[in-house]
Amino acid sequence: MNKPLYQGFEWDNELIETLWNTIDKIAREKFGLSYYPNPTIEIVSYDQMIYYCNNHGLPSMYDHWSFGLSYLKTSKAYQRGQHGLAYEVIINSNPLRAYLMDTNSATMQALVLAHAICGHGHFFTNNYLFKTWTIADYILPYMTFAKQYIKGCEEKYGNDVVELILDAAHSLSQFGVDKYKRPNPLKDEVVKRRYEEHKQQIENQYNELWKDKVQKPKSLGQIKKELKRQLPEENLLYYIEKHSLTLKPWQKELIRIVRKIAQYFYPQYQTKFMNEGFASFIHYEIMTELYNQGYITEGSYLEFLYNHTQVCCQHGNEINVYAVGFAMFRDIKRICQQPDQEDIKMYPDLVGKDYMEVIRDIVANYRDETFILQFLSPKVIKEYKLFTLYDNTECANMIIEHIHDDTDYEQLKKALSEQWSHNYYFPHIEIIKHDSDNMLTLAYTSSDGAKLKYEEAKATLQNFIDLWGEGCELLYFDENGKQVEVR
Amino acid sequence: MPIVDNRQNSKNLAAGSRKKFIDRYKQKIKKEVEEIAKDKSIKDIAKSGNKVKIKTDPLSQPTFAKDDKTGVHRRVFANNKSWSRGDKLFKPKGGGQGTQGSPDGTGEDTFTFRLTKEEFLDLYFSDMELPDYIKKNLKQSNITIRKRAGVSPVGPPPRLNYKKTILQHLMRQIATKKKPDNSVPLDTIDLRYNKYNRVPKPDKDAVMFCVLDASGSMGELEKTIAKKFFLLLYIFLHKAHNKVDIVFIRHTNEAQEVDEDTFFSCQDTGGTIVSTALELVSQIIQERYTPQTNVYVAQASDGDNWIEDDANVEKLMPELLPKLQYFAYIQTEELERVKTKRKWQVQDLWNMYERIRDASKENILHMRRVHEAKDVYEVLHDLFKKR
Repeated sequence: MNKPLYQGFEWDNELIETLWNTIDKIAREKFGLSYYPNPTIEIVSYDQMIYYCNNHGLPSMYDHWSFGLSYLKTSKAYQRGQHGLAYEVIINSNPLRAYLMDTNSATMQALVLAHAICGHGHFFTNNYLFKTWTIADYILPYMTFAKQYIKGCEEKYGNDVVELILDAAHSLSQFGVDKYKRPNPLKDEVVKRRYEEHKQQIENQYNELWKDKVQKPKSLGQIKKELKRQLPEENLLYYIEKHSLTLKPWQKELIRIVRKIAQYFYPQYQTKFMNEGFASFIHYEIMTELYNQGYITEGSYLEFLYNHTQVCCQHGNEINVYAVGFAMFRDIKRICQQPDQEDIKMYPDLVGKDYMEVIRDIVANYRDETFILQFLSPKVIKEYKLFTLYDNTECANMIIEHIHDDTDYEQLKKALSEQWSHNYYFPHIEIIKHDSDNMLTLAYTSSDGAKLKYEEAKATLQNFIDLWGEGCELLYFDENGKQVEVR
Repeated sequence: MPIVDNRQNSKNLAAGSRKKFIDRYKQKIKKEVEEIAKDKSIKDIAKSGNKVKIKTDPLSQPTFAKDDKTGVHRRVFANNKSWSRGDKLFKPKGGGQGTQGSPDGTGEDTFTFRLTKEEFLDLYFSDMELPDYIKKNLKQSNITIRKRAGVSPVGPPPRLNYKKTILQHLMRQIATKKKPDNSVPLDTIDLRYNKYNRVPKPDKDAVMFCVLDASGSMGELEKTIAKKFFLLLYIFLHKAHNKVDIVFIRHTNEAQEVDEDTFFSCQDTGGTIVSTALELVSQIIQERYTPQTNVYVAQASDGDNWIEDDANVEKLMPELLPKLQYFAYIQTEELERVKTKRKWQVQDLWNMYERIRDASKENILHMRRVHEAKDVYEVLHDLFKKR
């Protein structure tokens, strides 16, 4: 049995080091976790914490009035006690960088180390989405470059012009991310083949009667240009950057910066549920292990438990991702170690396996949508009494569609899984046409009959037009592909 | 593991963004600032933490978002207490549990936040300047002073820098002999002398004369208005031009130069002889300032003057004006009193200054009437507006 590393509330930098070394050993050896080595810890005041919360922890974010506004709002809300300040912020970079508030107790600091670095850190390092889309090695230098570049443009071309472009790009930033890897560059054979097909098509349409009205075939160059555009294109900012004829190189670079940063954060939106659940689960396991090995006193363990239950508590109807996420991982552990008849039927692959191996595999290969669809167990649904509310805006009533019994289990899983898909909040918008006057046609396809907020969409489209430089139009299609009215 | 502590250093990380936010909403914030300033006392506006409420344009951060009042929504919740499948819930008008806003909601219409003292004053004075300051600034200043500028190997004996010379000697010894013993004698190449450069003297190149009529004819209200005017002017000068000298002159039937405290707080009264103040101003200009200096005068009075002194004033003003860049005159008068002024008192400073102003070709004398303490702010802005 080991001696407790600390008693009570106080801590100093030396204790942080000791705590980390102990926690690191446990995380790697007992739980098989792996994260970028040699993480950096920064001790911050609450003022700095507010700043980092707003920037998702990135130091040297470029200056913009919208960040000023949100910083003011957050400080106000915090001062009014409207919400507690996050006691941990960590950024996905190599090496990892975590922020600890100076007012945390020693137990809280241990908790943060376990939750942020072992939990989130492992997630960032191993999950497939993060590995595909984020540049952990380069994000910090890239941010510094971005900030300097923007400042340089402001000095050279004036604050107002730069602000106009950044404003427009920000409003499109959620539509400036790649969701799939781009196909390889166009091969000449592909172009030639398409050209031959096109010519054949024109010839087939030839009719003696109408020979004066025949369509002229497009040239090889035209075919190549069309194929290069690779329409339809979801990444609106990417398209503007690559094909605009009016933007200057420095303006394109600004757009590129905004979309690179949006791309960096894209995996975080796709894995919020999983990431928090996993980190909560890990901090619980690690803190319990610290207690079992005697590194922390009973009093500290109680302090931790109190805090943990506060965070992972499901009050009210709005789902708490920490609570349900934690419960899901805890249930996976239970299924591996102590399954009952139902579990053996539903999850035969998990029974008898090492739970950490299973969980590590999940963390690496799933995202929120697929994780919920696969692993939301009936027991968790019953524990939290989940239910689905169905609301057709044209009806006067809402209906309770599914509840926590066995009949509705599959439907409930599907519903919650869809709630965490990208499409739930972000409308599906893509560029479908680029005609010879350089006019672009955008299409919004709705999956649930919802229209876009009209005034906002108009303003955003105007931003798009400002960046593109030529006219554009936005068409609406319902889920059957039929074009519908805008309002 | 590296543990970093930047708490002392990065005090205000969000400063750049905060400034950009204030710049963007500058017009709106400025209007708010002026409204606030009207009702507060000077002490209060110079404090930090003034609350400002502005309307943030809801469309200023638009994006493509689903309208949650349309379409079909399905959402999962927790803690189902008593509902069964198929239960119907009535939707209250205008929202309820069914409507779910997108997480990127554009937020409120109005927003309240606090300005720091600097930001408040910056905004308040942002469209004011000392007039014609540029003209005199462009003229070359001929006064220079000597400033230390390191060492040089040549110079006169009194400027020999002993320390540097010995140091140089030691360095040479170590370089040649590898150890400092005194076998290498001190040589002329070791000598070092102090060097001086001539730089233009940073002079206070502007002076503002504040002339206050402290006579008995100035009632409580007039005195308050005048004091508010000068206090604001004082803060403005300190903010915008910290190289401006300020000379405070109080006059009753005698003029005196006083310090800041006495100017604002002294209680004694007397008769009114304006020419004494004007003479004192002229005198001080001659004694202390060069023709290069920008001289400004701000005078506050209720317009009454000892009737026999009027001729003096009429003579002195046209002599004084050419020496100045700007003369700001405010006449403080309670509206009630104006109505009851007797006929022979209508001939007051205002009329006289008007004549002088119209007669002179240069646009130096400017005048405003002030009836209420609230007006002071507008008047100050008006007199010192950026052109």
